[in-house]
Amino acid sequence: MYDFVIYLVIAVEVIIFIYFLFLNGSYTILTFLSLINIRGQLAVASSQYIDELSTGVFYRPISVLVPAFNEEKTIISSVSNLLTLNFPEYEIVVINDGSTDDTLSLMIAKFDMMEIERPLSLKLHHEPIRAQYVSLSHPNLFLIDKENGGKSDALNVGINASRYPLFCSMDADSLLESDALLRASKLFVEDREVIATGGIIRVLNGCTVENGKITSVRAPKRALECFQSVEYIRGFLTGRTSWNAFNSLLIISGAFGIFRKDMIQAIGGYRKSVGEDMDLVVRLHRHCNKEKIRYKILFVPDPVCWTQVPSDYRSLLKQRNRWHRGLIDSLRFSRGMSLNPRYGKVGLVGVPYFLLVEAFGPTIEFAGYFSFVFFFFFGYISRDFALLFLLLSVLWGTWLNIGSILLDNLIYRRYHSVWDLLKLSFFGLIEFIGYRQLIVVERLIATFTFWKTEWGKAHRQEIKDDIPQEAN
Amino acid sequence: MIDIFSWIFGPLTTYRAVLVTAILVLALLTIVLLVTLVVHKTYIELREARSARLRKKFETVFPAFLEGRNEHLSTPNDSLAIDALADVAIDQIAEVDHKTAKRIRAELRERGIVDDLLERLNNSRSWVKRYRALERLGFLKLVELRPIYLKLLETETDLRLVSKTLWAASYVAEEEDLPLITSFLSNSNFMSAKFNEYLFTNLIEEFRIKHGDDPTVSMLSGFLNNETVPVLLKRDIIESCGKMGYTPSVPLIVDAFHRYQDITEIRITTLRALGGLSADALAEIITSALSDPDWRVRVVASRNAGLCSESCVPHLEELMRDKNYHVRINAAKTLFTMGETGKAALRRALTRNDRFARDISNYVLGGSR
Repeated sequence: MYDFVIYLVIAVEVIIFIYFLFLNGSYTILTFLSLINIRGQLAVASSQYIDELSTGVFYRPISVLVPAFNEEKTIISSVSNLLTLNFPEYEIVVINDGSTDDTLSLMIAKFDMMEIERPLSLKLHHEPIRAQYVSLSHPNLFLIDKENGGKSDALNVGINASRYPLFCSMDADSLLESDALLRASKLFVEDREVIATGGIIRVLNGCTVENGKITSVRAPKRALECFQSVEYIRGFLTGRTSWNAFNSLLIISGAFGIFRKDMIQAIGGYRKSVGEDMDLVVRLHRHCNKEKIRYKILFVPDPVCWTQVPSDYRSLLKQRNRWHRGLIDSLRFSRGMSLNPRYGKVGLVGVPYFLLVEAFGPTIEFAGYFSFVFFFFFGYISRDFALLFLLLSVLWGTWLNIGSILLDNLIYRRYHSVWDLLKLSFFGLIEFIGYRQLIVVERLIATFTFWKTEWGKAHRQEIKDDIPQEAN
Repeated sequence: MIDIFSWIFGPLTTYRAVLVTAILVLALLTIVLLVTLVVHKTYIELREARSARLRKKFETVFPAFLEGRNEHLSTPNDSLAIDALADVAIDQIAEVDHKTAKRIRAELRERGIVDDLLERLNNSRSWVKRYRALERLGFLKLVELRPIYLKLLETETDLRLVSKTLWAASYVAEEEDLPLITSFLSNSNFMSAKFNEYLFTNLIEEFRIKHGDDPTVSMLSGFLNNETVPVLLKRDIIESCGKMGYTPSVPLIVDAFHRYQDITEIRITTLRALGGLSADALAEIITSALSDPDWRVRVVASRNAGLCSESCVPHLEELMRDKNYHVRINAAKTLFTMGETGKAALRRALTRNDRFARDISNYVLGGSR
């Protein structure tokens, strides 16, 4: 019996150790892959070329869809920002998903919206529509008021109402850089196989916004927001860019993604899920592989969307819980893809990797923390080893974080102050002491409550618009 | 009690040494990254500031030099200054007349900017540097680089550079280069239809400027009549003619409509192109297009029918009962633009049993009833 326990303990530790090496090793490889991929992508998007696209006739018009549920604090700034985008032909469709606050009335008052009767295409199913509005001051701005049905339902309404062959899905608490649409849609112009692209999401907290535009980029002030800044940089630059190389990108953030409408209609639009963004992309992969359609789903690193991240622990944990439930739901829905050669690289590499690292990751990591402490106290691990291993894991994680921040600075240079970068590097260093464990525990809870469908909406902060005062 | 890692890796001293080495390496790498981050940030900010200053300087000095208000224009002597002057020249070329553009090119040649960019294109080991050099040269539209582009098209294997070379060549190509260019575009997996349109627009525009309309039409006619050119490429060139509003191409487009009547894409494209070029030519083909079996053709036809005479009104009225939503809505919208006759047709639809036609008329007429 004693021998059995010993072997069990050894087996658990070996699995966790291998997992640790695999996880950090793969992140390290992905970081290097990203460096190669990003540099090339930025080179092919010079500002002159982008200007030529915007002044020529070679763009593809886009419908920007903004689902909004109780977004009274952010919706006006967000729509004002969208109205200033540098793109030759686009429409904005705001979908009020049965908000119980003043989202609707604020939109109507601020943008001179008038009720219209416009027949909609009925390709995708959704909850009933109450009314449709068009802005008298901005003819390319539409508002649809509908019964509450969730974000996916609101997006389906937007797709039905949209006029153009491409649509961009956005969050109502996000701001786009002025040429983000041009940069994200450029690939649709140049490559017939591109069916979806996603841009990078960065943290808006700490930045200065004037007239719906970001005028000064600074690192956030609060520690919690700084941790998330580092996470976003690492997640997008190393986590997503590298998957382009395998055409196995499984997530395009719901905060900013551009899709070919016909493909989304072909898969029946968004499915009701708490992780509708990932679910859509996984189903796109599935559909195209099944139907043998040549396709590309790409992460484009240069179009930037700025989004507000939760500034209190409660909202953050709710958000992460929902993300993880969404991830599991999506992988569960498309479970037949995993290790299935019929789905090519995405089935053989992308989905299994996501299952192992993202879906089961928190469970394995938590088991690692738990057994580490347990074995340490019961003398199965020497104190020497415990300390050295802990130091190694913190240093490796820090290296990855600082590597991502460096990568971000090599390519984007959005933060102009060295102090901001050092501040983020500091939070990259201490992320592994407390913050990471907190998120792991929340994701673990989500793993065992994956069937829940509640959204868990985060507390929103107003996007402070610092309109410069006119000189008297 | 057993120490698990001693059991797996051997005595404590062995794995301890491994772990300590790994920690030291990682610590060193982390410090290197941090130092690189700070040094790079400081360097890049200074470089960016200098680049912005140089650009600002050339934006003031270069136009003044061209206008003769300033006699002196210093020759750039490093890559940052060369790029700044090249970028300012590219912006200028897009805005000035052909004579001044020619002078700008001559100045750039004289000051070694073109040679420097060519040097980068030919000898740099980084594809990114070659790509950027090629893009700048392309924007400068230097006719003498045509043989270089053609040679590059034959030898280059990097697809990113091939597509950029095709784009650069499209500004300076001659009629005899078309087979080489189309041999790339004929591959249905190469780039996209929009990219083809982009290239053809450059090609037609520059060819027209250099040789005039008659040779351009003859070149287009040769292209459209060439049996070896894939039909979808012909569609792209028709689309380009429409997008750039090239009126002399109208007879060729009408001819293509008749010749390729069995290909839906060509019918759609010709209708769209004629919609922007010639109402008379459109009138010749609109009636058959309005009753086309393919709904996409009916959509484009109903969208453009407003340019034709009121004889289209009954057809459009009929299309308001079409089984396709897009046809119905476009027919209604076009009727609204066709004066009193069109509006009368919409008002008639308001009293019909057909709910779709009623709703659409209601929507289109809005407050104008």
